[in-house]
Amino acid sequence: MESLQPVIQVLGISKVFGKQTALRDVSFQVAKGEIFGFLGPSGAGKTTTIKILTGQLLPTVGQATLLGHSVTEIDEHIYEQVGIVGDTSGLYERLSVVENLRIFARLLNVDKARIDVLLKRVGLDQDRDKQAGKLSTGMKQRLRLVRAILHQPRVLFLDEPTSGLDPSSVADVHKLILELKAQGTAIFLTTHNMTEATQLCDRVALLNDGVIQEQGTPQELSLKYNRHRTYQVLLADNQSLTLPENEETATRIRDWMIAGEIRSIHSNEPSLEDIFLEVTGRSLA
Amino acid sequence: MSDSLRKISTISRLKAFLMLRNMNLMAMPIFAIAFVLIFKSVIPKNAMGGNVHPYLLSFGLLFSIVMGGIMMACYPLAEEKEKNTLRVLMTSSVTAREFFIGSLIPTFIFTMVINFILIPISGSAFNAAQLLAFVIVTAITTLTSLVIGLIVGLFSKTQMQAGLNCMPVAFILMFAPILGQMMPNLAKITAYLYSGVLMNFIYAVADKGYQINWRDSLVVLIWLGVSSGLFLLAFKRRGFSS
Repeated sequence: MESLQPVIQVLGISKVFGKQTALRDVSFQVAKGEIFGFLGPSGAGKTTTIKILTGQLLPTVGQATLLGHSVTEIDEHIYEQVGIVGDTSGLYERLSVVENLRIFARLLNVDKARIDVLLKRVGLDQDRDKQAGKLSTGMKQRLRLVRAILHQPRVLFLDEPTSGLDPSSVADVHKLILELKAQGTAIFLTTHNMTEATQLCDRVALLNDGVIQEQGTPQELSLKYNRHRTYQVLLADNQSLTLPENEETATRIRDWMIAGEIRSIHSNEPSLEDIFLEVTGRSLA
Repeated sequence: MSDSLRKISTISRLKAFLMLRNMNLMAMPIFAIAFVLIFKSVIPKNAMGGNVHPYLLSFGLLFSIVMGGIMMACYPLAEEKEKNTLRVLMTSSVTAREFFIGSLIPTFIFTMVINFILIPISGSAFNAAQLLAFVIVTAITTLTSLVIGLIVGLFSKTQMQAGLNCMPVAFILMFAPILGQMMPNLAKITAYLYSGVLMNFIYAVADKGYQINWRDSLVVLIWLGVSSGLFLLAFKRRGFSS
C-alpha cells in the first residue's frame, strides 16, 4: 500500500521566526513520480518549506510527513532516500568534481561506477578532475544535481535549480528532471520561473508571503482564471484578431471557416505568471 | 565495516584532504616547528642556566597544541558553515557524532605528530616512562584544545569571524603559562589551566623527572570534561544553523 501513500504530506504547517511569520497554514501533498512546483517570489517561504520537510527546521505548528516519517522525528537514515539541491554552494571547492562525488558515494554506500555514468549523463565527464571552485555556475549546478541523485533517491528537493543558468544548461537540467520523474522520483521544485513550472510541473502551488494562494495543475489554474475568454484568430490575409467569447464571435468564426479564411485559431488562457499577478497582486520578478 | 565506521572514515579522509590543501591551517604547525628552530638558533646555549630545551619544547608545544589545535578545529568548522557544506553533509545520512569524530581524528593525529617532531628539534630527550607520560599529557591537552576550537567554531558563522573569536582564547591559554614562568603569582593561577599543566610537565621532566600528581591529573581531565560538556550543550542549543 506504500505506493498509494503520498511521498510528502503537509497539513497546516506554519513557521514563525521571532515576530515574522514565514509560513502560514500550508497544506499540500506530493505523490510518487510527480513534479510538484512551489512557486513564489524571493522571500515567499519556499526554502523554509524545504528545510522543514527535510528536517533542518522544525515547524511552529502543523504536521508533515516525508516518506511516511514525521518531519519532526527525522533520523539520518531518511537521507538515504532523499536528495536535496540547495540554493547555495554546498560544494567542496578545493576538491575536484570526482572527489566531491566520491565522498558522497562512500557516505551513501553507492557504487563508484554510478559516478561515471552520471558524469557522462550531465556532460561533466571531461571536467571530472577540475576543481569544483573553478567550474562555471551551470557546471556547479549540474554537479550539485548529480550529487543529489547519486543514491537514486525516492524524493528530490530542488531549490531554484536553474537560477542563474544559461538556456542550454536550463534545458539539460529540465531533461534530467523529467527523466527522474519518469523513473518514479517524486520531485519538489521551488522556482520563481513560471515558464519552467508550466513545462515541468504536474501540479503547482502559488505561494505568497508564506501563504498558499492557489494550487492545482497548471491547466486547472489556467481554466479557473480564464475570465476574459478570448480567441486569437489569424486570417488568410495575415490579419490577427483577438475576439471575445460571445455569440457574434462564434458566428464570425463559423463564416470564416466555411469560407476557408482561417489560418489558425486558439484560445487565450492566462499564463501562470498572469494568474500569480491576479491572485497576489504582485509579479514574480 | 559498519555503516557508522564507514562514514567516520570517509569524513576523516575528507578532512585530512582538506587540511593538507589549506595552507592557512598548515601554517600553524609549521610555525610551531619554525619558532622552535629560530629560538634555538637565537638563544645562547648557556642561557637559563643551560636549561634551554624545556623552554623551547614547552613553547613549541603550546603553539602546536593551543594555538594550532584550537584553530585547526575551529576554522574548518566555520568554513563548512560558511560554504554550506556542513548542511549538505548532515543531510547525507551523517550524524553529528560521526561528523565530529571524523573531523577530529586527522587533526588530532597531525597535531600529535607535530608534538613528537618538536622533541628532537628542541634538543630534548625522554626515557620510555617520560615518553609515555608525554603521550598521555599531550594527547589529553590536544583533545581539549580541539574541543575548545569546536566550541568557538560553533559560535562563528564565517572563517573571518572564527579567526577573531579564536585569537583571544588561544592567546590567553598560550601566553598565560609563559608569563607565569616570570610571574610567580600568575603561575598560581596558570597551574589550573590545561596549558599551564602542559608547561609545568615539560619543565618538571627536564628538572627532576615528572611525578604524576592528583592536581595536574584533575586539572587536565576537568578541562577536557567541562569543554566536552560545553561543546555538547552548545551544539544541542545552537545546532549547525546558527
